[in-house]
Amino acid sequence: MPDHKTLLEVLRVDLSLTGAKEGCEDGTCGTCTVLLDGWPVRSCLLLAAEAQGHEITTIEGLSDGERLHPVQEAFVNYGGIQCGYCTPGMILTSKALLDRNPSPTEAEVREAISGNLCRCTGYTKIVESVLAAADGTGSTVNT
Amino acid sequence: MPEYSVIGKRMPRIDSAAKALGEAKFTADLALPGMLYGKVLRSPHPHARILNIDTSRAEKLPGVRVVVTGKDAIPYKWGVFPYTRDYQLLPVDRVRYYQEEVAAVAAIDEEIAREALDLIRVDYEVLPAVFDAEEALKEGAPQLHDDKLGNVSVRIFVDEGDVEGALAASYLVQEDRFSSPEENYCQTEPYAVLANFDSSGLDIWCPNAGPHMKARPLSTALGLPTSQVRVRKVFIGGHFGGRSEISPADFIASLLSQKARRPVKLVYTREESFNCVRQVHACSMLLRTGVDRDGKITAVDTKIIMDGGAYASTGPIAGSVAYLMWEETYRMPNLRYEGIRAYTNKPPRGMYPHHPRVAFAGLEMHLDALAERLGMDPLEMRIRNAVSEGYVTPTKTVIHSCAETETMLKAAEAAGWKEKRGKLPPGRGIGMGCGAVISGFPMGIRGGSAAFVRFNEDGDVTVISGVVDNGQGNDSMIAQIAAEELGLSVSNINLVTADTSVTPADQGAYSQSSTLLSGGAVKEAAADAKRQLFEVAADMLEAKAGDLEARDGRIYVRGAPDKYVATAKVARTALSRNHTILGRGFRWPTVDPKRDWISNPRGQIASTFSFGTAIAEVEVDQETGRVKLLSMIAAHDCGTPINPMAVEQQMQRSAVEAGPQAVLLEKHIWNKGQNLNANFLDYWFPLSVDVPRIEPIIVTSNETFGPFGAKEGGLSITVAMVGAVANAVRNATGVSITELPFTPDVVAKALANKGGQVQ
Amino acid sequence: MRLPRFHLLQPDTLKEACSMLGDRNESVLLAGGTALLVDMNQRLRKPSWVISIKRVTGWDHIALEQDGGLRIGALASVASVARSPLIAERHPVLAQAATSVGVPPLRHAATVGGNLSLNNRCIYYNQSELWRQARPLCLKLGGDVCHVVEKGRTCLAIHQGDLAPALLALGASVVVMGAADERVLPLRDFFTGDGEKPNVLEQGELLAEVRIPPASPSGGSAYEKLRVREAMDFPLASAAANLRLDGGRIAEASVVLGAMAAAPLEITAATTVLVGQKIEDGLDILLDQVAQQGFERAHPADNLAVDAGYRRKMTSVLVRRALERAIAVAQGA
Repeated sequence: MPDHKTLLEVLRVDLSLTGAKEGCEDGTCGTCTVLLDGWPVRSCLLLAAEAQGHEITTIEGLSDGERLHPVQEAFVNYGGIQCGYCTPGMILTSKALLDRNPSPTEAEVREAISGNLCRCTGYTKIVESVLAAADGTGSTVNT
Repeated sequence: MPEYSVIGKRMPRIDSAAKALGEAKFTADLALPGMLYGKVLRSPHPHARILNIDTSRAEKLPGVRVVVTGKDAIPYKWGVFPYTRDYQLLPVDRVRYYQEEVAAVAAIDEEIAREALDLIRVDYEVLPAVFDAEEALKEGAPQLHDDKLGNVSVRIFVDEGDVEGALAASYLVQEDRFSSPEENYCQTEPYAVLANFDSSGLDIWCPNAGPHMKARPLSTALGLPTSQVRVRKVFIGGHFGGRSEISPADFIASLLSQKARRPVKLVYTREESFNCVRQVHACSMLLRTGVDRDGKITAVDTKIIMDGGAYASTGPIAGSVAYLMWEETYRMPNLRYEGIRAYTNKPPRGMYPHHPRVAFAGLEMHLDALAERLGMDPLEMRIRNAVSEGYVTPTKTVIHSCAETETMLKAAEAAGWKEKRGKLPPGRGIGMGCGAVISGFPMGIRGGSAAFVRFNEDGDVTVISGVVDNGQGNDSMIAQIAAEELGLSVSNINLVTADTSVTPADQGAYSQSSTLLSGGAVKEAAADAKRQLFEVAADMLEAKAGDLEARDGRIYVRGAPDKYVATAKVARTALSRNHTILGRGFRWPTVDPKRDWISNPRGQIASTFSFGTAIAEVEVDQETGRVKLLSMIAAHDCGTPINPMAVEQQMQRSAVEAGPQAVLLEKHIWNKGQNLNANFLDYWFPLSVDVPRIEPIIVTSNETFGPFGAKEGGLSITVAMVGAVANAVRNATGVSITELPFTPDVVAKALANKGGQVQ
Repeated sequence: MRLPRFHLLQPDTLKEACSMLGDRNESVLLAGGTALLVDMNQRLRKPSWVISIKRVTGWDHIALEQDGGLRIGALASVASVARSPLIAERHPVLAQAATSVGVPPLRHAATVGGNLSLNNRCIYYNQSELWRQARPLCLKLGGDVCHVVEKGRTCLAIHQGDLAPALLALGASVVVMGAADERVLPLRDFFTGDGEKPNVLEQGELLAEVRIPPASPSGGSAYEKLRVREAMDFPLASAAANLRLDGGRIAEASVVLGAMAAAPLEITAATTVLVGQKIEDGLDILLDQVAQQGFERAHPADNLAVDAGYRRKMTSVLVRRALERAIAVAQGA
């Protein structure tokens, strides 16, 4: 594998895992987010060779067959998804937050996702989805 | 509201799971066997003649399959309207903005394609350029198009009543000049195209707001019958008005594929997405607003100059939006509007929901200023000027269902308006704004939507509609409508949408007509299918077709629910009788067909309108000028919400687009025609920590044209929240800031100048 | 966006990394990647060799010395500095500066050494290759034109790192490691004030460690950062203040401005005006004097996205606020 390939390229092209997206050239948008040993990283700013030996979690690895991970479920049930382009990165970042901090405040949620740009939602329902995943109410539709 | 099964119910969208799983495929995620990678060579000059392009070295680079220039294309200038045809999608002899397309390459991988670009030699004759709209309109300015003298792309002129007389007789008149630089769409998905040309024609995947709108110009540009251009369904990462028109990228990828006879994928960088698709107009506006002693608007007079960039795009529409929204929001017996869209050597500018931001910030700040001078509560001012059902606007549009006043009252109550306005501590402010949005405007032969509803062997349904989903939830919307009409659940509904090879024509996701027309067509088609079902069911139940109802997957006799048959069974029975249940429907806007944006701006502009009121609270750091948004509330009249969760989503997005984006943060900066901030670091796209929660309030009204009484879901807030945040900052600072956006340096300067400000 | 081609080496020790860098002229150090890889995407850097130090261990410590001083390994992530209770308690200015960097995932990847040796920035320099090709090469790129100031002969690119002003205000020193040796120098001597070559690192050298003198029990410090958004952005202006009280008087004070020049700017008035003064009403006037010197010494050019005049004016606001907060911390201590 050529030295200059980023983790993002290897995921998308060589492994056909297109859940991680390309959205910018400077590490600002967060659509390429994957988890490296449980931490959100910009896969576009990590060389594939540097990722070797670490545990990488992509969005495809979150669900159990057809069963959605609780964070995925909450996003679906609480309207945290519109066009879906920021969604994989947003969900992984949220999952990583809840693994470290199971009961975050709204401010902590917003800070955790401050590196994930979303143009469609205005962030309100994303925050509500994460909080619902945290308190267990995310498994049913938000009525 | 009647008791519906699925209409009005909060439910997850039908495609959310696919997106959450990462399964949803956007254009850049797609691949076809034998696919080549495309790259575009761009002009380093904002204005130049192309003297010669030498592609020979690029063609010889191993791995390069084809190189194209404008000379490889049919001579064709495209335009949204017949009278705005000025856009050669791959220029032949002249480039008109920095980074405009000049040539393109398709190669076996991206690196080789990129290398090949460096091997193309272009000889330019640099021409003088102009970067400012007012400069471009002056005599002696460099001319962009030989047939558009004085660089006037479009001039809209509306003059209803007697504006001068009304202003002279007004009790108070407010006059200000407002200005704002360019904005950008920043769809999270960068632009991308996958084109596959073979002997059966062209298949193309690309972000769009109406596949049929792309098919026609592509077919003309490529010399193909429109029926052989198939714009295919794909997940789209946002549009917001910037992806409705054919893009050079669409054409170039298709041309490369046509020449190479292989699929070609062209993916734009973020910089290209900022600069080479569409941007949003920079504007300057002179506004005069007059009121009588009771605070009723007597006249509105404005001249607005819009920097349109190098090509016409949707100029006539973009140039009209300001006065249309004004006259649909507030009563104004006299209205004069001159909108001039100028050509400059910058990327072309298109439509955007809240634009022009100067118009909505400006009029709303005027109303607050006038209210202050009258000693009147701004809420009371809005209530006095609100339109209502039956009102006829100056340009002769009739307002139909309208709950505008209710949105004002509900927003004010939720925001604690009366407790807060005028009573907040120094540095804090609260402001309101209102807006109206048209649903379904005249688009000639392409203005309507049609749909089919097909019953399948298992009793489930497939809806075939041209409606496109850019992330706003249109697919789910028509699934809910079909389910309700047919008495099925949403899980029984399958969709084939936005694919010109299969789906009938649809007007596209602009003019806020997807619910009204696309949804309306699906309802008609479902009703047609239901009629056919009822004929068979009537026979099976030995009842009259007119006495039947469909609900919960059953068809039963009204009043005797025990006398029923499963809908699926009816569909199968139909098949056993050699009858295929296939419903069809179409819906066209009820507009005045003689109304024209430029030559006749008079008559019914839209089938219906939605209305909204927004209220925002801010805190301004009086030393640094930084504005912090404390709360945002939005109340929107959508007729009937098909899915309240989806309407809330739209309202919240609209609020962030209008408040943080348009009023506080976003602008492009330029130097010598080059965009200095085509990236997310220096172009201030709001982050999660820049916005508060947005509280959405849904208001209903008696809409008769829309399906189940539904109108568009949330866009009035893009207009209303511009005024709300602008007025909140005005309230907090005591100053009407006339330069948008209100970035800290602008606010700090306004605060420093406060002494000399004329209020 | 694709990176240019290069050969990758992944040493296990810093000394190895130094040797590899020293042996190859066209080589660069890759730590967090949040700056270098972006520069490479933009073709600002096109090295033949990239030396990644992600496999190096033992240099990410945040360690308290016996005398109360702190040693921070250059490979410690900016996030670990932001989260460290040790640093929050003793040197709030540094904790605040680190917390303000970028956004969480970028802080997690970025290193202390990387942030200190950030290349200087300018809106005409930090652009894509495509963008820069439309103009003659600027001074920083080896050309002879400045796009900020017509006929300018000095590169005006700015140091926009957040850690440097904070660490300077704390009187920090750094360990510069080479293949054969190491040297310790005060952080102020690490910066050159040259827009084109912002620090003294030569080919084959890298930052290994930052050393901060012991905090005082009666000390206080604070960082003020000005930017448009609440996260992500580099500073448009920043001010770090550090002081120590002794019996109700200011015994030591330092103020450093960030994002104003090619190197962080030390405001000596902090010492000359404030040292010896009592903490009481009337201190306001003196704080304003220090703030005024901040304004006078700052001469930012128009090479960021916001007007230089505004940024300059704001330095005095930031200096005053940083000092006020530092005093409050010191008093509460």
